[in-house]
Amino acid sequence: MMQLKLAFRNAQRNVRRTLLTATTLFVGIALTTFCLSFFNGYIWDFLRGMADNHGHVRVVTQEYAEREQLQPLYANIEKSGPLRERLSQEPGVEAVEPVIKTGVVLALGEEIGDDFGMLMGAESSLFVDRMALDQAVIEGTWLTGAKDEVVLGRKVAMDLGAEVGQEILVMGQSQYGSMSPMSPTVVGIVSKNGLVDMQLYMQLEEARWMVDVPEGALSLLVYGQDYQPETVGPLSERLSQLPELQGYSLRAWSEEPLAAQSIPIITGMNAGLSALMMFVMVLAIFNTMTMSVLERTGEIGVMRAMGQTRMGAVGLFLIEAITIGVLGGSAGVLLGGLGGYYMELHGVDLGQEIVDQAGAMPIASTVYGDVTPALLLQCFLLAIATASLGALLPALRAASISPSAAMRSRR
Amino acid sequence: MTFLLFALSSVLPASSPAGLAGAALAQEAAAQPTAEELLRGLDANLQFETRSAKMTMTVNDGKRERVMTMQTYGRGENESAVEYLDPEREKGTKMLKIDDQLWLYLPRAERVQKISGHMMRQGMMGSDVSYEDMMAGADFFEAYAATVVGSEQLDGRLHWKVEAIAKDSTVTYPKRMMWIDDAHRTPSKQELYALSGMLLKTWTMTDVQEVGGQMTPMRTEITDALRPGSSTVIVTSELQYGVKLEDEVFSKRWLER
Repeated sequence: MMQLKLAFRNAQRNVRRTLLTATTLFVGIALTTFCLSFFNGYIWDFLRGMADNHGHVRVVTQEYAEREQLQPLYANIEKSGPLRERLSQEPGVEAVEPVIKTGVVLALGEEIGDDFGMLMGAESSLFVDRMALDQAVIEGTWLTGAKDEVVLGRKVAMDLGAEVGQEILVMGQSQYGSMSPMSPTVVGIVSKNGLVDMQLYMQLEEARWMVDVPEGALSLLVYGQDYQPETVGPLSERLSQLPELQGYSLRAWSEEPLAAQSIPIITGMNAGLSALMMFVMVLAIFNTMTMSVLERTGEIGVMRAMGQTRMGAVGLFLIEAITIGVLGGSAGVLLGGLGGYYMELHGVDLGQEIVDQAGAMPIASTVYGDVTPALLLQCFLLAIATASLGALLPALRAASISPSAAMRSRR
Repeated sequence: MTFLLFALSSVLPASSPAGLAGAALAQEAAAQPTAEELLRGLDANLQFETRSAKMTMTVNDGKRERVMTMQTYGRGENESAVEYLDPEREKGTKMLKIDDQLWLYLPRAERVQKISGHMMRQGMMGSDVSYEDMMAGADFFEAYAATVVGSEQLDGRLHWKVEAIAKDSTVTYPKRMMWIDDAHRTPSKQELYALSGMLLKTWTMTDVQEVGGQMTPMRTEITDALRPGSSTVIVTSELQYGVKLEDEVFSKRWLER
């Protein structure tokens, strides 16, 4: 208690310096909170986009999984209905969606051969409830359910030069290898992220005709209650134990090569950003505390002569630093959190170029912040840890001073 | 398309006399022909003024088999037409080659499309024959420089092994290795290579029959080295040379008719 009082008193002895240090922490923590909320929003939006498109857990035949690069249409789930029903009964499963994804050649005019796209055929429940594509329409409408309709991703429409109302040729292949041409009308254009923009969308029944799988699908996308990697991994593991799924290949979205590569990078970047900010703030705290120790060398000597232990001296400086950390950190978390929350509500438009350069990755042009209690706590603790770390060396130095030497050098 | 009309046989040009390696085929007592003579022989067998034939194409992708039948028409080197007769899904699909252009009629879409670009390298109807193969003409004399590099027995018959190198970079296959039947002057086997030297396709032509004075391989098997396990067999029937064909057959109007 005595040390606490002393620490508070010391903090007030040079108010300007204490405020300067607290301000450094405040600015650093505010920036860290804001940047991490931006970064988390951006990244988790990317990962959520991947999970929505891939399904939390994807079920395909073993053969399809083995030769996926070649899109072996013949390796389809011939009758997807019974399997869908069985999976839907599993606890933790919210929806099971049959999907056909196949590469197609597209043509608007007389020539065909140089425009390609990835056709996704599914039911409205996937497109609307899961992928929210009806909210992503930038021109025309979403699929109305009428025959021979197609919705194009923005990039596909742009490359093809197609507009709403035009009839295009979509040339796919049946599972037997023969040509499957269709001439649907473009009813809408959607834009959401790089992946969505590079696909075209059709009702499941029409895609089934194209691939010639009247009652089946190429994959079943299973959606659980949560898309987080720590949830979907166990769900995938549990589903793979079902006897009905023997002979099928199950994969959680987080195990997809792109996601599996991205998640460690994201975690690393998050830690890297925190470490960088921490480093800058540690230098500021270190400077303040070193000055404080130098100024109080004689005083420390007196206190040590009066019986204060080495640990007591360390604690004195640490408490002072933590006090500054709590002050600066709280204010910083508050300001950074407010900034992040503003971005969560309104987003920041980074321009379409970023989407075009992203290729088939679910990177969106508008980035929304993501402020969570966990993030705020993380940043607050970062402030405390930073202050403690910055004060540690000076505090150890203070503890190592012998009382007699300190008394001699008393200024 | 000329390939189809020739039952997928081809003609190679000769530009240099052959050096015969491995000529120890005394039992055949065959005089060594020059590459030029061999290729002129192919020309004589495979070129025609007009012709019609029915063809059955069996595509085996290593997993399942699919059979298609088609009616084909040809006039000279540069005009040919194909109409798919069955199965139901392909019925009514037509292809038309006029000079260096390939057109496709898709009955379900009710559209005529000109095939170009990357699609030219795709397998026609999922087969091992690409649209580019269909476009390749039979006048290889202008396209390749050939050398006889040896002789071999295939199915008990003497064949001359001819290496043909494209004179021009626009030719689909920069290099061909051909086994030409000495007596029939037909290409019993061809290996088609990329510029890098990688084997792309192998064509095996058998069941040679004399039709209208021309020796014609009636069965062709194509394998694509890039599609392991798959093969396409084309069997020709009802072959007729010198038939009268209306001009309309080789027009875009015929496609939509």
